[in-house]
Amino acid sequence: MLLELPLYNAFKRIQLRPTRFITTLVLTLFVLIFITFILWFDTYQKYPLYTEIFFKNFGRNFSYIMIILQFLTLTLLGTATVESRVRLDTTSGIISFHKLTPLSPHNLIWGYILGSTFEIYISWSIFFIFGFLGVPLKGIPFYKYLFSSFLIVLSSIFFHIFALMNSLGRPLIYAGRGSILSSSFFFVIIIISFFHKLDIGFLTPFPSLFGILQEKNRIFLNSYYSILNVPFFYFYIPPFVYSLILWISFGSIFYFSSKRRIIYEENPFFSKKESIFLLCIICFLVIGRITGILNLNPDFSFVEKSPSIETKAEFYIFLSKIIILFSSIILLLMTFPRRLDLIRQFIRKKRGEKIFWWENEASSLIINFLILIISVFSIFIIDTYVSLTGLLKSCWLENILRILIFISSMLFFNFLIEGCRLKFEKGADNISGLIIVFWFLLIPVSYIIYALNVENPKLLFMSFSPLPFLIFTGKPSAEIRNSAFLCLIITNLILFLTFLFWKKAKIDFGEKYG
Amino acid sequence: MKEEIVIEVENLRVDFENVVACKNVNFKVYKGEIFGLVGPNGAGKTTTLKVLSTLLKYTWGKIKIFGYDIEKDFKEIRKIVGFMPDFPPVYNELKVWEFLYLYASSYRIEKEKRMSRIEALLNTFNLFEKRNSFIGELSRGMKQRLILAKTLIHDPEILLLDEPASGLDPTGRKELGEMLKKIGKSGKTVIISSHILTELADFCTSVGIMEKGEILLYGKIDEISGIPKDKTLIRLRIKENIDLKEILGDYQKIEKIEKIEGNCWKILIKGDENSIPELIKFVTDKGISIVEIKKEKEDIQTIYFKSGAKYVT
Repeated sequence: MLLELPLYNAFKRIQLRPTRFITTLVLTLFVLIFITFILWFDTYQKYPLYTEIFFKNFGRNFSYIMIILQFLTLTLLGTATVESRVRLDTTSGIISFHKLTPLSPHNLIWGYILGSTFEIYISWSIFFIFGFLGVPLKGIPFYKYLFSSFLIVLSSIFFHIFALMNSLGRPLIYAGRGSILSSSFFFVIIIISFFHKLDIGFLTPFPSLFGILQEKNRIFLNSYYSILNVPFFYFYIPPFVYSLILWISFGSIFYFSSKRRIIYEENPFFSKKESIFLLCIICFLVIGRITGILNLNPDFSFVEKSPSIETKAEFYIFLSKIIILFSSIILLLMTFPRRLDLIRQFIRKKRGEKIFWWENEASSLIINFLILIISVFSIFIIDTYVSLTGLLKSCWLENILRILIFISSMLFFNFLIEGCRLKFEKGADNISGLIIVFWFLLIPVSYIIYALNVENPKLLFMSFSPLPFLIFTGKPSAEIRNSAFLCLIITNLILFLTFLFWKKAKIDFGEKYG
Repeated sequence: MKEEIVIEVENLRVDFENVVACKNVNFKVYKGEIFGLVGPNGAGKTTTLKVLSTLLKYTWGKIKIFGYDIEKDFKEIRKIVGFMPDFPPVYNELKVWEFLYLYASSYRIEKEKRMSRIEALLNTFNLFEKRNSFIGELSRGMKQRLILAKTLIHDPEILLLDEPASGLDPTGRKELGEMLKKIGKSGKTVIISSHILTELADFCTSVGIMEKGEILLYGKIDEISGIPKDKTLIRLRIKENIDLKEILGDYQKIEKIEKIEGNCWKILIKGDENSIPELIKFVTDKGISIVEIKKEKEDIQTIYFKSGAKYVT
């Protein structure tokens, strides 16, 4: 049930028809071979006798071009494909058929996003896999290439969601056929904005890619190319973090808007709540940027020389944590209406009214719940272990704060479990689970890259914990151990209560639908 | 026995930007009824059906389907309603069975049962032989039948059919009519909209006349036809060219008599169907030869004009 997206399967069937599939494959390979040949020829013309320089240049250029091709196929072409598919379906009216099915809005959204771009993903995979050839050919390092591709995928998902929202309820007859590519024009605008140093350019992966792909540069901040870093509040943050903030914040609003608008035919672009949310985010970003610029006074020539802007690991961990919490809050908000809905269903059930329930969706409850339980327990065990090994700094106030944050995080995840459980119980799909997996995957990957980047293998174990509030360098002390024990007891208690709650919910579930 | 109300619409109003598509729409549909929504183009039929199918938000009013409030419980309603729009939207690149499979999985029909359900529907709608054809290769009539099959895939309690016969040739219409009769007999509640009166005449049990976004008249055909329950309308054709009105003048049960054409007469008598043999005896005793006798009911067309509707298409 995890990947039961009927729309995706139907689109996949269409795109896997032999003629279409072979055409996609041939076109992709043709582009690949053509570009490789041109590159080889060009490099050979310049360095026919110097093997070392030849491979270095060929490998690097090959990797760069593969990254650009990934962007062109997945982000640009993919966005136009999503937009045209949704507009065509709106025009023909078939989208109404999908709306009338008991599929949740999430299922429809992901069905459209992943289904209509299936062949685009095939081409992208080919470019992505071939791009690895650049690594042994002295191109860009493996992890940089991987991270760059990952950023392209993230930005693509953002733009696909944008295209979906943009095209919902807007048939071709009203907008004109040219508007299929309106998302592509949007790209052009933001790319131009990037070159004019406007923040909207950070919606593309280019600023991050420029930072990452620089020679001698690390993925995180460095003093050599700090011109690429973003002053935000009191810190310089790497462009990819800023891009992530933009993608998550705006992407979630676009997602909510699509989710709402995919249910009914007539609906405003943004609801009141979404508008307020949007306004808050814009305010947060604008204030952050203005404060950053005023406080840090980015005189770039000065910054480049100064080693003081080398930000510590703690800051990135803190930032990642904020991102996790931010996305979790969004998830919690998402589950809130469902919780209310379920209460209503309970009342109706008590009154003896008939409730419709799609029993065959029950199986994904287990998957969803298992993922969450495993994740939460992993956080708990690893963080407790780390705190017990006494790696905390010996400042009381700081420790108390950390414990508070830790407890609130645990509480929060408990809420999250409950929300997701209720969400599922109503018969929805398990996208929330997927989002969580995504975050539990993304953040550890970031840590691994960071650990590799700063060449500190001790930091590698951070990657196992999505909640590494307690992982800080410092000397062990008795106080810290006490705090850690306290923390352990409290979180255990919370977990136990959550378990009881879950057990009760399970019994209710059995009584209701058993 | 009290009939179960399946759909209840009260004071429905739908506003678009500059147009009031529906206003003060009120009607009730009972379980097992085939309700014909008749009216010219732009009368508000499609809007009403879209609101009932939960696709369109309305400005105000109160709508209940099987006791569910359409605004709050739209998800439950979507599970029990099947909607068929006037133009069949399909994916031309999909095969016939694949299209039905898409909706079988969308409606969460169990995997093991999907194919058998699809085959049953393909057989019902005479599409089994075309199951492996691409939808783009089908005729308009076949597409219409495919959509009807798709609408029934989750076995909905209520069917909302918006102009199902539009764009079909006479053969296609006949076939579709037969299919709809079959559906009607299966006990499902059907609302069918059309601007072609004769299309609905054969199988509708009740009707709602719509014009300029308003329901002018609605109810069971028998009830709104103007024939009181305790009376029977008879169409009588006799051999002789005589004035029947004069001959039947002294027959006490006659309520009304009028000549339609030639030797054909329309007679309204007191009592139910059992009064007809008595009338036959009375007429034959007078030495008149009866060529044809038929119990009449008022057709939709007559009801339509009686409702005060002015625009006919």
